[in-house]
Amino acid sequence: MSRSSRREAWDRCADLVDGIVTGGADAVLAASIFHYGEFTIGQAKAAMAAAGIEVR
Amino acid sequence: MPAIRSRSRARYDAEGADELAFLDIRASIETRGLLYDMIEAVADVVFIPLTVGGGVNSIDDIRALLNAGADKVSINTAGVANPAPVRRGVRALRRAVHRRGDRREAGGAGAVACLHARRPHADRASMPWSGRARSSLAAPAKSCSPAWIATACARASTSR
Repeated sequence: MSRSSRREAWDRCADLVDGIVTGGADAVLAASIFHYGEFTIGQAKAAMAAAGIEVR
Repeated sequence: MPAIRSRSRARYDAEGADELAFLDIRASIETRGLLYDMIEAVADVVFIPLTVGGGVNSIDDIRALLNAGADKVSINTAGVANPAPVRRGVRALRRAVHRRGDRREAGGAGAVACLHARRPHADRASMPWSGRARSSLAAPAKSCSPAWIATACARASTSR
């Protein structure tokens, strides 16, 4: 994955954080970033954990 | 096709997903049938909760999805366009779920998320849960009264 596409994927992962932190959701759901391998579920969870969100 | 899709979903299970959601977001537009075979194939290989939505219009649709292996059913367009029968159906189903949950001592009821499809009700202000749910993207049913806008959940994890 190129640096730019990795950056884009990270930005989209930040959407998951926003959905919980800003939107107040209890859970977030994503499709394409996982389908196309831009991000693994583990990476998405790590990003949310780094933002202080409790993840399983 | 079902086999391929079920394998990819099993991958998500292995990668640590907490839940799988299959939302056929065009079903209510194209009046496509619900993909029961695929749901059965996925349910056979996936052991995390499976939520299915798309084109769910009636209590019969909900029952058929649950029987096919879905743990939860998501209702969107029908809840906006034709709320009364959906509300009655979901209430009836939730009662059934509660009874079953009590018997199995597993808290079988629950309800999950309401997601709004991009079409045909793209205007968030028209969403009945606007201003009620903490988030229109995903919100627990308890904050999404009336219950029909949220997701009816049966089977839960009690049967897995």
